[in-house]
Amino acid sequence: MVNGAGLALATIDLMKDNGLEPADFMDIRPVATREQIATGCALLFANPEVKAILVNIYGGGILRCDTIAEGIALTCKRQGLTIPLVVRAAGTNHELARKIILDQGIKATFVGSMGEAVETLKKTVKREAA
Amino acid sequence: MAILIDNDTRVIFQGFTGAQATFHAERAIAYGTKVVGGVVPGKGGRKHLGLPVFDSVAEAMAETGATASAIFVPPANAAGAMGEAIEAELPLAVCVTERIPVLDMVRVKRKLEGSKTRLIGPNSQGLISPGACKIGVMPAHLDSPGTIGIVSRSASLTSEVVEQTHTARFGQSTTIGIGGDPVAGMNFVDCLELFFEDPGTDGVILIGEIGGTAEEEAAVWLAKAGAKKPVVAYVAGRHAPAERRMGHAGTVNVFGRGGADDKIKVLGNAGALIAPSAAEIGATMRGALRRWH
Repeated sequence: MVNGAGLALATIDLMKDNGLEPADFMDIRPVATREQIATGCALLFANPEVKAILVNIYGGGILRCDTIAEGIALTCKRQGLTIPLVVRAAGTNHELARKIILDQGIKATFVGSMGEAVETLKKTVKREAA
Repeated sequence: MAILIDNDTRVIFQGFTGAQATFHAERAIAYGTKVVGGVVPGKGGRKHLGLPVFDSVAEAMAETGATASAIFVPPANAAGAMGEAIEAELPLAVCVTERIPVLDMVRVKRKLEGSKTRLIGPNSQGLISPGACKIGVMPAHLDSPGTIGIVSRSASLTSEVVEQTHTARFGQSTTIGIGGDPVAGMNFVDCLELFFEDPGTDGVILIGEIGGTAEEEAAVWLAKAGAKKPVVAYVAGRHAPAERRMGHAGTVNVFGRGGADDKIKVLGNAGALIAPSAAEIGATMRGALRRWH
């Protein structure tokens, strides 16, 4: 789950280069509301091919990290989270995003950079498979 | 030092009274940008955010000495707004609007030929010379005055690279989003030329993506001009599926053309240093600058 076309392409490239296969892809548009993001999350969660979720977001001038975090939290509250969630949130309100997700008791791993996100995801997927 | 915009840039907003324009004008003013007014046809004579509103760009220029505009006009009227800026010979027009009809942009391109206006965008996050002037919608919290020029087709990846150059303590001279549309104003070549001439820019980061020929044109120019400064390039979408539009209107690889691998190859052959991944763009520039000196 990313916000932005270029970041989406770059995230796919980084995943593939590290032997991870994207199963589903969600690009959040800047004008999305938390409810729309929650609806999108529900579709991601419903895809049986999805074994783990990587959130790589960069809070900008219009769409801030906290809005995305609220969307994710809504879906997790509605239907529960059964797969690993790795979150890299940077930019506007990234700390608030972390707080929102943790305050809701959602089990997520927070990482500081794109590279770290993919490394963590690799370990997580390996552990799940074992 | 910076290119295109600095402390003396006087900015008007076209479509000034709209919600997005209002929001981003307030942020630009808070950043220190000299916003001197706005244009909304039919609303001339009013005040908005304490600044004068004019009926036309020409009138706004005459009254305020504006040198640049930020265009926040909906798609159907955006070409008209750009045309007005060109006819008024405004030096710089920055169009943020996404989803402008391609045919409208073809007409705008024709108007730009031989004109005195430089156009950035459409579908651009805008440009920023940190500490001096910001025209657009980008977050500015990590933009720091410095020596790296950034030119990019992707707003989200630009934020990523700004963060990396900030962390590496280079900062940026100017960061430009040339937009994600297939037909646009300034391209990579125009920006590379300006960055190479700018004494305040030590290196340039070029962020491309699949689709179109902008990266190939940059490679041809770079091979001919010679890399006078280190150029680090990253092209997103090596693993993107073919024939699928990836977010931006211009981001599509059809008939085997516009793929990332070809773009990376020609840029590399032309003397650009290729960043292996989006996470290593700052590090690649650090290495390039070390070797350069």
